[in-house]
Amino acid sequence: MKNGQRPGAGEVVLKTVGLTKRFDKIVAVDGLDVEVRAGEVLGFLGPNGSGKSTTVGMILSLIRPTSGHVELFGQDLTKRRDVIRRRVGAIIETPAFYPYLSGRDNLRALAKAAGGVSDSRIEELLSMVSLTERAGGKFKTYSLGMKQRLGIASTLLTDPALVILDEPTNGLDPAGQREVRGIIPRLATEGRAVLLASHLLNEVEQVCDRVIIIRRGKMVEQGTVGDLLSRGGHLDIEISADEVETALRTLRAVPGVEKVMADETGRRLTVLAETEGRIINKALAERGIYAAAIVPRRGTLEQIFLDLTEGSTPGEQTVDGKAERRQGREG
Amino acid sequence: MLSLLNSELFRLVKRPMPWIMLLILAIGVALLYGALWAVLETASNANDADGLSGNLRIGATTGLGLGLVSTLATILVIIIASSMIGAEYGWGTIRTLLPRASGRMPLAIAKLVTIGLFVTILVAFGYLVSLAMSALVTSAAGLNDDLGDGFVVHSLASVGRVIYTTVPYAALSFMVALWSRSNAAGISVGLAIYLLEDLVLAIIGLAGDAVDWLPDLLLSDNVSAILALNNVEEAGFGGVNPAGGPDPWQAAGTLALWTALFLAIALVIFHRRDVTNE
Repeated sequence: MKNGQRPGAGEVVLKTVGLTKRFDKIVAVDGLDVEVRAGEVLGFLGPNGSGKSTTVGMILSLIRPTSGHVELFGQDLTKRRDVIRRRVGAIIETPAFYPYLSGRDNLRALAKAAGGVSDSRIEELLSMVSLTERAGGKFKTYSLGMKQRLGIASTLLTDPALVILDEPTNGLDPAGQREVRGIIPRLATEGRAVLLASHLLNEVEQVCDRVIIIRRGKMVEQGTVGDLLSRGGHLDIEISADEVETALRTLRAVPGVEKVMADETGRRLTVLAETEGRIINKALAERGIYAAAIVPRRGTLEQIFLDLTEGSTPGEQTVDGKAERRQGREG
Repeated sequence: MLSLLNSELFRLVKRPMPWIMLLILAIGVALLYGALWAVLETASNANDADGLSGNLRIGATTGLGLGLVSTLATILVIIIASSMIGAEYGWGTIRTLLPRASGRMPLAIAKLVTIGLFVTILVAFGYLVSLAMSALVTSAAGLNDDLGDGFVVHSLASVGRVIYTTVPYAALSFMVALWSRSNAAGISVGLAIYLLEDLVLAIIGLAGDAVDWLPDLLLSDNVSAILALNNVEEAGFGGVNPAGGPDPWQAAGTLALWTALFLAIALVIFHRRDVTNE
């Protein structure tokens, strides 16, 4: 693949192999294997201090791995350092620019450093992020949202094949967030690979094709968003309070049921199961229990994320993601 | 490397700091000549007036004017060299810039070349302002306007010597700012060494002759040995230090060794150290 060309759809653009970073005794990243392919948006999730920024730092050669390596476009990064300059665009945490320069001049300065970027490309990007009118203003006078938008424009200066965005909607108002969320999938549609590190799980759910969740530097889950959400689904069942004990015993015996919980009112059961609702209904009916409602609930990424990174159980999180604890008995 | 140099120069030109420095230098030189001219006009002692006339005339610009330029330029260069790298860490722009660079070494070298270009412009500009002010005073006060033989060569050599003697301080402050990731630390250490080295050596000298050799190994005496040639109008690119002390060529070698040491440490740190958000 020559410099400047877009990789073919599905081609592995970024690969980390056993990537590890130790800071003295602290293991920030521990044997991380990640692949990002052209045309996909990969969500990179993890709580604060989980190693996301350190991983991005290693991908961009800002941080030296203790062991393992990074491959960009099939080439070992240590041997082709210049690949980053032309083919990778990144915002690392809060976008940092020269405060005494205007937004436009900041892009010009970076364009000159990278080489081969025209003024018309800069204007095109300023327009794309709705900064044309304020492009002549000093960066230090920009709002956080404007800084974020300038950061996004800077990532695209060299028309990169890999875009790394770390919290790109941080500080944006809802309209700005929606705008950026519209841009991200478009980048992938144009054939780029996008690595999106974000705390906004709703955002990741909306724009990512695949998700990787890391905790303490280790990957704890990965898969397509659809797969992860299907794993986090459950059934809510409403029954009479005096039938709870029987229902719990019955449901625990149904094949495919992983966990059954009752809330404190005793009228609602939450069932984690791969079994369909009609089989649950049949099992209850055979014991003379007729549910008032059986409602399948889709899982959320937030629920799965918290399960994996905080050790909470799915039942401790409501389906709409609010931290409302069910203090019920677990069956 | 050229694209990085292009970016560094673009930012330098757009930055207010270098322009303010040029202004400070011009004002400093203008004030010096203005003040001495005023003194000359009111001097009642003929010997004082003769001494001042000798220094203010255009043929002596490499002594008086360039002497002030040397002091101011060294201070300003310490500030700009430190800022060139320290501010990148302070603003966090090092994390934005490095992924755009073809490598760490090319980026560091582009910065050092930019500092070198700025020093050259600063000293040359200061000298031109000195010449202009001296010409003005020479004309207004009716001083001797003979430039003497080899004035151009002596001017070029003198400007070159001033530039050369600022380089170790620039390298030192660059190294400290890089090591500490702090603009302020680079400036503080650079200025402290520049302004206090003589004082500290004088105090150490009180201990006796046992450490007589020490000043020859440090910066200040070697800088003085080289700059002393600016007062010798026939010195050209060579000459003997009229004030005693180290031989100018030996001094130049010592300064080169210090510069090489500072830059080597800076480049090794920059090459090896992780760039995090600390």
